[in-house]
Amino acid sequence: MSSGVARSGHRGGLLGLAPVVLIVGGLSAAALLAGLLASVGIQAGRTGGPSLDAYRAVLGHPGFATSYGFSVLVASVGTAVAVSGALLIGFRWTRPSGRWRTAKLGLLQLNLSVPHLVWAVALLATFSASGWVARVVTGLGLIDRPAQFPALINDRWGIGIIAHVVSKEIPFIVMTLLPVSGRSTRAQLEQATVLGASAGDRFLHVYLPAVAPAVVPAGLAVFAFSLGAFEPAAVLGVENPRSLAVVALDRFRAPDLAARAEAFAISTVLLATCLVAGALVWSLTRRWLVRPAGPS
Amino acid sequence: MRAATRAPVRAGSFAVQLIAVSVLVLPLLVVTLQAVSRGWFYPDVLPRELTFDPAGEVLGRRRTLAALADGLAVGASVTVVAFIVGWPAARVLAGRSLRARGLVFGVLFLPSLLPAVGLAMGVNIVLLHTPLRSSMGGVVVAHLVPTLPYAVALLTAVFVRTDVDQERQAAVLGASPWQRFRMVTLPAAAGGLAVAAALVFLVSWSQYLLTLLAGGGQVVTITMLLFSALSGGNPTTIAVLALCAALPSVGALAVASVCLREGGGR
Repeated sequence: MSSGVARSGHRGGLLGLAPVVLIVGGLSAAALLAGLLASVGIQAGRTGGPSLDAYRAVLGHPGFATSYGFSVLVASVGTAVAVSGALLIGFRWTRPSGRWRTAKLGLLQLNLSVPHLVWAVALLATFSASGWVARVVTGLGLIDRPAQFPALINDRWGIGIIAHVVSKEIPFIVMTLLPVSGRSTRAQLEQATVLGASAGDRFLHVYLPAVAPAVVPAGLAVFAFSLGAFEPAAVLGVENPRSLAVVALDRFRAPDLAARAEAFAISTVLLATCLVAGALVWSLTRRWLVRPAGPS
Repeated sequence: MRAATRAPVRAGSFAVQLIAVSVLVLPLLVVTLQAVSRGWFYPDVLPRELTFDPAGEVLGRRRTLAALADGLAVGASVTVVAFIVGWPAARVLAGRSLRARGLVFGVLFLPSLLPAVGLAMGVNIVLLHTPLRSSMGGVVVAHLVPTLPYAVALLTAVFVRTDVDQERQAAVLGASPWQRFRMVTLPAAAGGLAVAAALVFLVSWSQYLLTLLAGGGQVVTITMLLFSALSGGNPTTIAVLALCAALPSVGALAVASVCLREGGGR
């Protein structure tokens, strides 16, 4: 009778979990599989066996190397800066709370809740060549016309997209860090201080290992996001080099099926890049992620 | 000596914080000001005229209202479905070991570690083969991929903190499942549930690519109107649409943080 209340048994457990795992895992696995098949030419409305034509077309395109390099560079720099910034904030915030902590936390949460497209539009209005900052600089007499303002947005090096990734993802990573850098981490940091460890030592040997299980997945999510994100690249990027996510969507929305296959070939390249990055990061950080068994 | 080296460090740290705060605040202020101005162009630092007329005009358009309604309907449905599906899963996970929980969360959050553009395009062709293609139902299902993991994680956290013994006592005293839910579970978990609902809504509302590709053009949200206004639209219209796209999620966050503060002790 009371079985409805008690935590369900093994079978009930699987039954409760199945819908969630099926929806999230099933739909994304189906989406990945469909994409993979489409990239080798197997799609509805198209006859013939698998072929690597789409990959040949994509990889052989003269602009591909530049676009790929651009996308990976923007994602890597953006992720590196965002992770470092978030770690510094998180480390600083292990110290007793200052007067403005709640306000700063609120500000990060506010930024987190703003949709990506809106944030990209806001950055554009503020930092573009005719944006608000350029107007202030003009008002101060430092420049005479928008063309003289340094290209921070829609620039060749992706500074605008990187700025988007950094400003939008630092709050995200900080939020994932805060719950794991709780009381026990603070106590360990205090012990290290008493034992005479420098701030650098405390950061490297106490703080970093403690937050690694949270920051590594968060960093990978940020990398994947910035590699495959459409909105910031479309609003803050340039025509040449174009970010691969923008090229992929462009090919996807073209009417012919060959272009569609190319879109999925690009997406497979991006996916492979994420997997390689994940494997790389895992091998570099596994000493922090896999703890020896036993009480910690 | 020590004080002399620390003063510039403090000034530097203050400068960094000042820059960080302005980077986070300034863009939102500029967009807000843009939304209530008319003809605010380079090189004017401040608008010459402040007016709500253009904002009223954009908000009065049938397209804007329909887009707001579509986004709200999708967000609300996603929240409801995520709760219905996520609830039993969270109950199960709350009773399992940390290790088992980690494993399930790993599977659930895995899609978030993949490039979004590929996932959205793949979802589009998967849905093409179902009755859900180009429909609001398809968008709701697609949104479950990024939202359900958060729903399950947050609900699990709620159930880990709630006291199962109280539910047992109520059951022993003869309370029906509905009474137990209504009078024991819900009051204890209300704050956490509100936070979970707000976050699920926020994540759904903020989607762009997934909505665009799962909806097949049949579901048009504010972010889509914003995107099309970007090419050649008037700056005030763009700013008004940007605020329309931001306010519901900022509102959802405000609800979440108030609930978190009130229920924080539990």
